[in-house]
Amino acid sequence: MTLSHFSRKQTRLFRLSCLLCGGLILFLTILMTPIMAQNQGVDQISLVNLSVSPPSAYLRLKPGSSATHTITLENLSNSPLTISPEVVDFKPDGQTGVPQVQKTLSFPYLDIPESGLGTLTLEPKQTAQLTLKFKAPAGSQVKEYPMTILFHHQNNDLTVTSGNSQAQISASIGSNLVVLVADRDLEPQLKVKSIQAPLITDTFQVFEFSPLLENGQVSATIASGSASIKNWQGRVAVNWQIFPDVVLGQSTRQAQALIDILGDSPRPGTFKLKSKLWGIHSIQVSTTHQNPEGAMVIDSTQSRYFLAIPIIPSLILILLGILAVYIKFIKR
Amino acid sequence: MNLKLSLRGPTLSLIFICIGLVWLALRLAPPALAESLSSDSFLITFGNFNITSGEKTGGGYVLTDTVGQIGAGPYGEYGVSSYFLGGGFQYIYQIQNFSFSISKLNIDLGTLSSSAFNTDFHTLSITARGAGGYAVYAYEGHPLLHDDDVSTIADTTCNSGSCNQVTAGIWTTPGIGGFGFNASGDDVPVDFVTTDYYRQFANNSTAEAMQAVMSSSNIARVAQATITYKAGLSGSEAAGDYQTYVVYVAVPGY
Repeated sequence: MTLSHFSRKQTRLFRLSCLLCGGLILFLTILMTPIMAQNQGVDQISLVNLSVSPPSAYLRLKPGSSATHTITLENLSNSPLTISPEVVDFKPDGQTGVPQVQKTLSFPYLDIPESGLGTLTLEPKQTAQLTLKFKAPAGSQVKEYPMTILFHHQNNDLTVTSGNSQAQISASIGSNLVVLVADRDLEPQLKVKSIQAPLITDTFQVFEFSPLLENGQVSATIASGSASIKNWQGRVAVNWQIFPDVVLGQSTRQAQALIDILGDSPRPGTFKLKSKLWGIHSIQVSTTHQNPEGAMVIDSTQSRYFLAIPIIPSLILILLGILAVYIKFIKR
Repeated sequence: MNLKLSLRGPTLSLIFICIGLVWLALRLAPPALAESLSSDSFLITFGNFNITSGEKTGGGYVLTDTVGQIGAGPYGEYGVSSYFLGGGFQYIYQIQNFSFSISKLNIDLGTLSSSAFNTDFHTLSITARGAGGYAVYAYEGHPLLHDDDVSTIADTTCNSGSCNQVTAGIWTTPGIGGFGFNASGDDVPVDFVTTDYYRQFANNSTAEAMQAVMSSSNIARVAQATITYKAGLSGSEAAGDYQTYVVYVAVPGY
């Protein structure tokens, strides 16, 4: 079949369609270039780019037994990187899940070879796995050990340009590991320690509060429970589930709300309410856990009252009242 | 001739389509897999990490399975030579990678003088999909040290003489020498009010605790911050080249 079988009008239409189709694909190609470049942009501009997995892990080590934990490290940069691992303690900050990395290690059951953990050179896009071995003797004390495995990048480029002052940069990336030395799971002891909220809030403003959870148990536990705001009649204005963050043993952590629970991406958020409240309300926060029989147990509940009023109109009314009193009594 | 002319439109289109398809194929092609090597401490795996991680952890973590779960705990049943990451939808985030990158490893401060500041900068990038967030800490090995290993440029105390490794201050007067940094961008400390605010680096040689330069308790999808380094002489320091090193430590939240 040749184009001569088509009428001139059909041929024109065909040409136009082809041109439009080709142009559209070229346009989409050009349009997608910066989007895809943005996704890969970190790779392209970075001199050091490291990735670890898992970011955090939890391991229970029975006294008298051994275990291993494997961390995977990937060199995402475009040049070889020399890496040396180190294991150090971390401490919770008592508010968030951001670890406070220490300089020493107190965990006594890490089985490190005499030669140390060694160093390695990772080629671009290469991955390596570091396997740590643990061995706790029988009768070991029940205790939780939060640690961070740091992978130090050694900057070997110590080229000094004469006449210039310089700072050489190195990077380290960490992976958290919390080891509980115990022969069984321990019963959670999570309590609501306090609720931080204003005593008076403006009806027309966003109301926000933050409960602080306290873990009285030796081992880490998952935050679980709910928070609600009730009006003076006891009617629930809003209710949240607590986001299941990990609260380390003998530590505190601010609870987060589980938001978008029925949506595509349930995620942590703040206990925040945009609805207009009026009058005396109470915040009630409860922590719960499931007992071995499967029943839900309420661990602790704490309430906190606050007054919601329209502050500016109230202030205007108060001022008008004062003015009225002044005019009626004092001025007379 | 007519036929040639009439094919111009489809030919051009075909060229466009081919360019687009080749480009897409090149951009989207997965890297090839290869073999693995191991030593006492490390197992080095060539190829695509994502495939490995997906196979390891994909099946056990279903988002909707554990919504509303009451008794979930981080520690699960443990067997010899194995470990348990936990069961619950929050672990979806924990099995994601945590990555950290720095755009430049050599900060060039040029020839220092007392009449003007010299600056240089680089970018830190973090991807932390864990619900616990992340922190990037920084410290210097020592203050800027002269080639003679004796003379130093002190860390800046800013215009007011009161800024340190914890608190930023305005540092704009060239006669006030020193070495410091400013942080701007995502999740940087709030005391870096503008780009004129500077802090000292925590000094590792005097056992100062490293300080966070980026920190968030939320998920971060390529959070980026620019670190600007600044140095100048007060006038009393020896002429010459000064060196130091700065270490950034990125840790994921738990």
